[in-house]
Amino acid sequence: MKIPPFILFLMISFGLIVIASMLAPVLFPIDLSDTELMARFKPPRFIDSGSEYLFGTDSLGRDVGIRLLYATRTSIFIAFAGMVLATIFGLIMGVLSGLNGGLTDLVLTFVTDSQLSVPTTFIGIICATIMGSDAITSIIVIGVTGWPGFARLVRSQVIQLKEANFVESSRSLGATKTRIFFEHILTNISSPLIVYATMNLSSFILLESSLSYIGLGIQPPGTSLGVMVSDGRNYLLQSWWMAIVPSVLIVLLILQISMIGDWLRDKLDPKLKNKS
Amino acid sequence: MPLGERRGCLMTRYIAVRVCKAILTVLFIWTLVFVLSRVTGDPVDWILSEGGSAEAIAQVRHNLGLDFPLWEQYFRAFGDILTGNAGDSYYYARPVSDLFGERFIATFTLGALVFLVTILIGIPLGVLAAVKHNTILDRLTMSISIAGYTIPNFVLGILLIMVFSLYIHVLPSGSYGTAAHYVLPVIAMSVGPTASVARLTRSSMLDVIGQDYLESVRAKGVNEWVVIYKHALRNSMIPVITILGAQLSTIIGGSVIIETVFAWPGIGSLIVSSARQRDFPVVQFGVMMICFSITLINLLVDLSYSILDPRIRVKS
Repeated sequence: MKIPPFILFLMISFGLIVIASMLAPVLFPIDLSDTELMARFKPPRFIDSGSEYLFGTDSLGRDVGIRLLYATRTSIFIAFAGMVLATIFGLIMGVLSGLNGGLTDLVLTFVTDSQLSVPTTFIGIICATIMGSDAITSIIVIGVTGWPGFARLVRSQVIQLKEANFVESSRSLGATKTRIFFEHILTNISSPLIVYATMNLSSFILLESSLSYIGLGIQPPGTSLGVMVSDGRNYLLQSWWMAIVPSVLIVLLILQISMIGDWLRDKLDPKLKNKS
Repeated sequence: MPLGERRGCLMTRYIAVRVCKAILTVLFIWTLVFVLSRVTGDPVDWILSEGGSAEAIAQVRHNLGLDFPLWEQYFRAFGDILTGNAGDSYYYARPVSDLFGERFIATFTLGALVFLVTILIGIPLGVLAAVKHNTILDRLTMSISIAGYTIPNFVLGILLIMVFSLYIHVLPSGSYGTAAHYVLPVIAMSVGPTASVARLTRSSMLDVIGQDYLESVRAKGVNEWVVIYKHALRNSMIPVITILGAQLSTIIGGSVIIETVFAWPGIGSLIVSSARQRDFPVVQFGVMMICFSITLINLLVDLSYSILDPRIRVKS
């Protein structure tokens, strides 16, 4: 498979952001709750070239650059864990409803439909009220809001596949249900599933940062991209970099992931094109 | 059975099925909210998180209706929400329905304006991009629409505040009152939905534009704009209406965030601040109200299809 240079560039830059943020505790072992009030609102290096902070400092004198790495780490981790949860749950539900048909199918279709009719932020809000706001809740919220899409995709794929000739011939040779599932169905739905998961990762990052922006995700002193933007909201005039630097990173992550996702879709599964 | 009667019968059945589905959806979501709030432990524990006297606990239990058996709580609380008698907020110590009543207008006007902008800009923009397919205009529209879905609404809101209220001082950065207060929140909220509607209108128009019947209309000598707006647009509206229903849900969801960004005194910011205080009656009522309105909108969208496209009501 030939990767166009632009996509390759996106992949490498995304990979670098992920690696750098995952290594944050090794590269810059700091305590996130430490403050340094003497160094408040120091400008970033692109404003004052003599500054010792690449992205300046915030209202509590903390290095915005280092916090940015930790924040990205949290955001990506939560979005990724939520995506895994949504994929697994959606896969199970989709396979159950696709293979069994009948009443199971009817009920599951109804559940996915009803769930899609509640805005994702409200699912986040009710979960945060009931379970409290933290990383685990955010992961659950992403899983809960994300799974219906996966279930729909898997269900439609399974319904197509179970009638396919090669599955039929395998069945007539005496293959068990489990064997058919693992050998034929799972291998054939994995590529559309990966494409769909990649395309959705950007919306999960968006959901996580929106939740933490409105104060219902990660709580201080912990940090995530949304928390940083929300911290900076009150200092837009005197130190705009506090809000703008993490904002740019959010936009960059969403842009990278969705463009890589679109490319993957066109490459691996052109059928999905009209469904998004 | 005569054809006319058969058609009427199908229509009644279609409506009945949709209405049942809407009612089931609301009940399902209520069940979910109810089960979640009861399964995750005693609500009293997190309402009185600092602990309280036995008397206070009994009082809270009574106010919440927790002293009834579970099945009775389920129906009683649902009935209370339906009748708008949803108890008192813990934080504001006032009836929940009053809190929502005061804030409803602010949220409704904002949402309605955003929806209007989405339709009035999104659809013509999509038509323009499709008609001028593969020109600079088309590319420009599509690039703007990519920006629409990659820039989160709260980031856009903050950028707008920074530029228009803090640096140029032309528009207020938040709160509510005059027409000028609406400008920034409406822009921040409508860019995303407008972009999706424009993208979908474009692709739906492109599907229709190549079809033969348009050529025959043109061959009759009909003006090109009439061809586009009367013959092509009407036939490409079905998917657009579907997405408009979904966009309303996005707009309602987005209002929560935008109201927080702009300190807008609406329902969204009320629900968010109540969720932060874990003020459960307010959140529960708010989420159920939102769920009612979205289900109602989806029902109307479904019914409007069958008017626009008679094939649909026969199929299901």
